[in-house]
Amino acid sequence: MRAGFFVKESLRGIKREKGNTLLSLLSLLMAFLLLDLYFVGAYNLSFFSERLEKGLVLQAFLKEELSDTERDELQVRIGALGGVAAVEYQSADSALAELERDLGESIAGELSANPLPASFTVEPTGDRKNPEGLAELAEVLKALPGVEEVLYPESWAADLENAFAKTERLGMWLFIALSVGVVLLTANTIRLVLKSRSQTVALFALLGASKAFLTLPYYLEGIFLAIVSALFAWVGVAWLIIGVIRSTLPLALFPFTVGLLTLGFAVILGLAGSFLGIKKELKV
Amino acid sequence: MVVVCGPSGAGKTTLLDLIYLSERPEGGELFLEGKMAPWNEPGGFSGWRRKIGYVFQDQKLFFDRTVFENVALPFFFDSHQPPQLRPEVEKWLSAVGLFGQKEKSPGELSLGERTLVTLCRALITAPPLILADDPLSNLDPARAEVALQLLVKETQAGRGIVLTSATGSVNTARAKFYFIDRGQLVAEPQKGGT
Repeated sequence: MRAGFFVKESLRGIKREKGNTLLSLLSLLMAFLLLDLYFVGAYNLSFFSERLEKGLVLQAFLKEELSDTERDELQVRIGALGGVAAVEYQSADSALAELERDLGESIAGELSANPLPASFTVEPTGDRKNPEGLAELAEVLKALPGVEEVLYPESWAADLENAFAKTERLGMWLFIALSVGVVLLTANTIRLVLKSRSQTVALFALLGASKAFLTLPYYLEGIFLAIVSALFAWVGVAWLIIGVIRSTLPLALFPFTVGLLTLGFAVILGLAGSFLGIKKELKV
Repeated sequence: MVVVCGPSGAGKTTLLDLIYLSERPEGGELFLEGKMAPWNEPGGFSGWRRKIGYVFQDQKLFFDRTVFENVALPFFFDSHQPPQLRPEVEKWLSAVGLFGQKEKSPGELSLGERTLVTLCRALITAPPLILADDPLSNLDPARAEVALQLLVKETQAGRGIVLTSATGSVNTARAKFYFIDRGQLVAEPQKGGT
């Protein structure tokens, strides 16, 4: 019964400050839209980086004089190295066939001999998919007998890591700024509602209402504002990704669980905003 | 029941406000149920006030709520609510003849009716002390008698009542009368009378 009373009180506050509530809802909606777009970006970035990292492999070219037995032993040895996830052999003939496939024309007839060496494609484990890890593994591979040369996308790995680190930092600042924005917007709305209801609050206090009783409706109101705007933002972003962007860009909407997490986060931001607004306006 | 009489400006409302902790005294101590007034205790005022039902002279009703909601309000301040809130509120409204007005706003009622709503709100939680600031002056004789009888009944139930009156016309033998003027006691207490 008491819970019903508090919900009613919150709705009374919203009804009384319709204009301000609507404005706050719109502002919060914009903030949550940006936050959700950040989540979509972050999710797609990690998805994209996983795909890019799959391309981070080392090519160990083999000496020509290597016998089949020595090659097989070398493959086993490389496979047993720490930081190696998979080793795949590519013969000189298959390398030439792949090159012809890439070029789109046959060049075997024009060559007196196949100039391409046989090689191992070495896929490092996830923890080695960084500039330092790849360099270390390349050094180990180079030192192995039978290996002529080791190639890997040295600068690409470094550039990729750098770009991801920068994007992540930028995203984090954007995330913090938007979160602070949501808290301040909620705080301001609650402050305005409390201002307009100052007489009611004073009379409640005079009649014996405790501080918890006086503040609870406004905490509920802050949570309500945050949840409603976060829900609408979620729907908006889903429509934007699935209905508009996906036809031109293969973007994925973040999973449902992440959506639920954003709602949980909205509750925390709403609470923080209410706390700030109440602290500023309510002096009982 | 204690009736405090005195002319306008005698300090009757101030005395009730002091007991209700709405005003701070320059000296002396206040006790309720053996406990000292929690002047410096954070959140102490609300607990103290919940033990007192106050019939304000200016009613202090919420015009954006119904009569029913106004009377029921003190129940929500307390975590111990009666299991049947509605019948309890309706019982008190019936007792003062306002059952039919329960869904109206206090703004639609006469001054006397509003005083009775305030009286119901003060009595509904059965507080140990009731302060009534000149409640009878706004009521016609018949309603004044109903209100007084309700207060007398509360006295019989063991609750303390401090009632103020500018005219002193409080017709009950169960009261002790004090006369004050400009904040001072001007006559010795008298038992009963009109």
